[in-house]
Amino acid sequence: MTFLQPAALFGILAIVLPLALYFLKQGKARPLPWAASALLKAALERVPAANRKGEWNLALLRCLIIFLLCVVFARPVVNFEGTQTRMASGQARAVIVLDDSGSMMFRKGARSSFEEAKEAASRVVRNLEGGSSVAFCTGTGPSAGTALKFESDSRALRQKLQEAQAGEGSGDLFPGIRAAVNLLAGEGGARGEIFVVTDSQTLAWKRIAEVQSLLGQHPEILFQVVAVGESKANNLAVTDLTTDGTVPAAGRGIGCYAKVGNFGESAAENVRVTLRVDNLPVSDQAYIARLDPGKSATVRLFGTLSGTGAHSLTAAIPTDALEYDNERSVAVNTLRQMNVLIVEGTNVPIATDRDGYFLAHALAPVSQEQKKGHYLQVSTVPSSELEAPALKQYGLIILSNVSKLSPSVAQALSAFVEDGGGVAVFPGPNTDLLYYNSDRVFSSLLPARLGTPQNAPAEQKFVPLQKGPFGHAVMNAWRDQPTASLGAVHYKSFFPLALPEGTDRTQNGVVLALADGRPAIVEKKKGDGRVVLFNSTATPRWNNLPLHPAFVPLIQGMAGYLAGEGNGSLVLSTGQPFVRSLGAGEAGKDFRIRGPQGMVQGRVEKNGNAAVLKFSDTGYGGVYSVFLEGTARPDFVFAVQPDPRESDLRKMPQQELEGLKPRPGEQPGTGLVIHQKTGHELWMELGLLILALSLAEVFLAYRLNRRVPAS
Amino acid sequence: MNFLYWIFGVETSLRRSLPSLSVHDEGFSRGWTFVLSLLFLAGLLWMVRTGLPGLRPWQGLALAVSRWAFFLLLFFVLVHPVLVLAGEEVQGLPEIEKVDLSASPWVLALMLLLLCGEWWLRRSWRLK
Repeated sequence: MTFLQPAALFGILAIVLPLALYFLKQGKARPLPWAASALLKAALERVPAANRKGEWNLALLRCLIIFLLCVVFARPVVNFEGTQTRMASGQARAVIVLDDSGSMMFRKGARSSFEEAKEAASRVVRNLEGGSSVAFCTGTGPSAGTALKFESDSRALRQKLQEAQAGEGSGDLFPGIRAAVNLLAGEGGARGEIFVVTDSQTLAWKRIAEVQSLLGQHPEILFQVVAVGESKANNLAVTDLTTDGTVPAAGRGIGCYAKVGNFGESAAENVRVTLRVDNLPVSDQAYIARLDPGKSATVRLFGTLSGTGAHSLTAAIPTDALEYDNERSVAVNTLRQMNVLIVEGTNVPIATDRDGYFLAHALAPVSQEQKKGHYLQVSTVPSSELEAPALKQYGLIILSNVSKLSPSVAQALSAFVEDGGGVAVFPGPNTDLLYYNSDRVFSSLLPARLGTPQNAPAEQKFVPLQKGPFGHAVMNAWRDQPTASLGAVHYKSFFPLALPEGTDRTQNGVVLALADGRPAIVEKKKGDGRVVLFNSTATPRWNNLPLHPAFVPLIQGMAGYLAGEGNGSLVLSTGQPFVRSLGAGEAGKDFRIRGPQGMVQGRVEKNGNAAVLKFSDTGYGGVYSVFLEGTARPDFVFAVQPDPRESDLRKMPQQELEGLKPRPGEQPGTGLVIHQKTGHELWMELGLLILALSLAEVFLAYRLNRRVPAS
Repeated sequence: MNFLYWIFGVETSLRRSLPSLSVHDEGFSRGWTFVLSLLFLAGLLWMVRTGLPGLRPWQGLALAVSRWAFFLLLFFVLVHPVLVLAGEEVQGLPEIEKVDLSASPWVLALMLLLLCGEWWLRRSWRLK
């Protein structure tokens, strides 16, 4: 049996109190002779033995209550498995690798797994024999173990341990273990030992095979896993939050998709999901009626972004034992209006026959009077009249059935994309295939080569689009709808699109495919901007997409995706640095960043002729507001999202970890005893026993008082 | 809630605001805990009224309330609560302090004090 708070056992000394009260002489009443009491006195004298016994029982019962109360507050734990790991004595060179991943923030009561781990690590340091040298590092993250060195001052090391903080990063113990092995293998001397203090989460051991191989190369190093935390845990988490993909505009509602996962072992009911804009009061909420273990559900929430500039959106669920993953944020930059240019390949007098007619209406689906105030200001121009300098004023340029561009316009378009602009290309009957595929500038913009236009097979008459689910951000309107279908969109003619060999699929890829798997929409990242290429026309000449209800949300989604390219860099993963180029005049100025851990200061660095604001301390999820010198309102807002896999608290099977321990028969290590908290806490059982004993004590005292009335 | 705040938040009550207090517990709900303890209080009052006829009303009430407070504390610590105190805002964010009641020596001391105090009163009033 182990006590988690042995100090409470000192309270047992209070047992003397009921005993003292028992032996304390009661004040005697003044005798008052009265004839009737003589008979009573005679009756009472017949029961003193029974009373004395009852009083003894009462005193013992009271002592027992006090004893158990102190024991229960000492938090006894019965270990059913792996009670102790005992290692032999002797000086050692020990390296403690502390798991500081997000899952270590799991709390049982007021104590987190990380705090428990720090205590276990302190115990390791305390129990090492004098003369041993110890090193310590936090085990996860790319920089784990980079400054690992032995400390001779155990007090300083324990202090360092106490100051260590868990992050919200993704767990991977391998870098820390590798650093520990390198340190021990690089120096001779006493026996080397590695203690990995972890909650044994599966994710942290994702490279267990590499750990095993590394340890196999160094059989002289003793390896011990010290397990902390709960063996079973419930956890709900917001695992994903994205905007609905439309252009974020000031004063306009924006939709968000918040995905909530249940990583526990029991179903969760009526889970409330809220959305806050800029940390203002809740703007929208939704309830998930039931979320079974291992399942996730997505809800759509709406918020209104007031004013242009930087904004944050935060989705949250009720707090639970792992708090940091109950919230997830995104950041967006809103604009008042965005200019969109549609370049038409043909110039026809009938409006409905124009190449940009359907596009213009899909981008601004409002009445003529409302168009002036619409956040997308759409203008059209024939390709023959397109001038290079004019491109700079637009946020999005769409080419529809354009044959070719003049070299100066192609160059300007390329520069436009490099600077962060978005371009969408709809080919058509006018398209000059040779130009599209071989022009040095224009072809380098396109994500794919265009083949000779094909008609749908005669027996089919048309080729439909793929069925759901759709995972790309452009398709956010159909997000997480497994049954969503664009099957009613028919392609009579289309250009086969061929992605070049060796394409980087993380940056370039297929947005949407035909039902037969061939690409229908592809994209390419170029510089700071992006290009989207469709395989057919933006008019009903070759397909019925412009007539389909899906056209408007698809074009809106595409516009939001291309215009929001800059917003992508506003959502970072934990540990990913925030970098923003500034004007040269900003170099050397101070900036402040208010993040989840408080206010941090920094200085804008000079980088050639420009200035760069770089902030790397993004270890915690949440919203970060950047204030440049002399500004009261944030100049930038960005969001950091933790790895959703950290929310899955499943443990690595014990037998897998057993394989990493010292081989049987091997000389064990230092005189260290590590109590692994894998047992069962007796809190409730003993508490109920105290309750029962207290009730018994009340009744016993009641009976004794009735038997012998106060006299 | 107010009772808990009064009991455990005395040292911080002067600088913290009441609406910011919340309690997270495991197991059955706080409401049922309180109702159950009220039933106990009723039982205790009946007991001191019927079982100790010679006692003055305030004395019986003192004994019953003292034991009821003990039971209430016992119920609360049984459900393993964590008291969350949200204090002053630091850089726009509330400072959170958590108190694990089951780990608090003050709660143990208070429970021992209630028990021993009641027994001492009983002894003083020549009761068992």
